[in-house]
This record gives sequence, C-alpha cells and structure tokens, in this order.
Amino acid sequence: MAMRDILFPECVITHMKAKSKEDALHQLYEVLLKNGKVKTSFYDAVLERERNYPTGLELEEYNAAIPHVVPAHVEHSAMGIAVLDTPVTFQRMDDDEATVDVNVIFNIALDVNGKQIDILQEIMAILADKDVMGQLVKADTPQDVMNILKKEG
Amino acid sequence: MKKIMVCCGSSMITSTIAINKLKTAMANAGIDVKFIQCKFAEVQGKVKVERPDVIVPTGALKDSLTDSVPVVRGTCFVTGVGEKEAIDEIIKILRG
Repeated sequence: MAMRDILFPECVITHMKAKSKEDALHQLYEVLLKNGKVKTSFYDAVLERERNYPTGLELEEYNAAIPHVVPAHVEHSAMGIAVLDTPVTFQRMDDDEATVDVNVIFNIALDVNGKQIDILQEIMAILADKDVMGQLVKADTPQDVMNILKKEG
Repeated sequence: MKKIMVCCGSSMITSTIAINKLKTAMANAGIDVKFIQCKFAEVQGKVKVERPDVIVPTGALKDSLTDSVPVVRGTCFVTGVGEKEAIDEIIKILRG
C-alpha cells in the first residue's frame, strides 16, 4: 500500500475558508464521513487528540498540521487534505505552549495502527520538501493536489 | 546494547516514523540499539523498568516524567528539519 492508495480527490478541499482550526477540521471530517472513510466519532476524537497532543509543525516556508487518531474511529484508510486560503492557528507538536499558523492540513486516517510505515514516510517526505509544500499551497483544485502528490509518490 | 525510548501521543504514527529513521542512523553509526516504543502516558512507568539511555519524544514531554534520563526532542524526524543535529546528539549520548 502506498500513499496514492489513500488519496481521494473528494477528500481534498482547496481554497478552504475556515474561521478556526476547529472549523477546518470539521469541514475535513464532513467530507471524510460523507465518503465513508471515518466514523461519526472521528471529529471529537481528532479535537481531543489535538488538545492533548497537538500536531502543528513549523516547517521551512509553509506550515502544516498532521492531525490523526487511533484506527477505532476510521472505516477505511484515507487522507483528508485542506489547503487554506488564510492560515488557521494550531498548537505546536514540539512545544504545546507555542502556536503555528498552518497553511496545509493533512488529516491522516489510517485503519491499522502504526503499520503503514511506507505511507507515513511518504507523507513526511512531503512535509520536508519545501518545493512540494510550495506547490500545494498554490493548488487551485483537488485534482491539482492529487497531481502534485502522485508525482511525488 | 543501548536502549532508545521513542514515544508519541497515542496512535504510534510519529514514533514509528522516528524509529524507522533512527534504525538506519544507528546502523550507520555502528551502534547496537534496542528500541522501546510507547505512548507519552506510559513513559513515567516504563522509564523505571526499561532504564533507557535516551528518550526521544516526537512532541512536548514533561521533564518530570523522564526520571533524569536525557531527552532529545524528535519532532525533527517528522518535519525533516534539524534531523542530523538530533541524530548527532543521540549518538553523543549513547557513546558518552
């Protein structure tokens, strides 16, 4: 299984307008739920997890967050992706007293615990690549996002 | 045999990534390592039993939980930023 197997254009939102992190995560939850990828418990689980163990990451140029939960809240592995028109604020993973303004959210929903190492490595490789992140931030449509990421994978 | 405790929030996603990168780095450095993977919430208990040489949390971990074991922050294994510095620091502690 590779990252391309968990990418679905219908689970990608470009030009997302969100008032807050909660708003952004709820919009992602709605598309993931509508497409049968997650259970109704997913949204609350993501928020609680984010409260206890935040996932905002300060990267080189644009910033990202990688909210994720245990497989109990997932139906089928998928990745919800939001490219935000205006960044929303997350707490930082490495310092929960600090915040970071996030441009792209990768909402990782995996149905097996800690086993899909190949997929995880592909996701982390995107975060570490400021060119790819730069392309993602400028993506106009979900299909653009798919093309950028599939080229990488 | 050295012991590295790698921990993260709950779903073992970021710690799995960190362990995978550290395995390669430790093999390259020729250091024989056993990895202990756990959740932040388990650190305080496990640290007493396992006595790791170093703890690598992928996120913020309270100092009070680590029982004076050296800590090297492992968020870099997720972001790719500052990875080499963290690996060097871990190697220095293990060889210390």
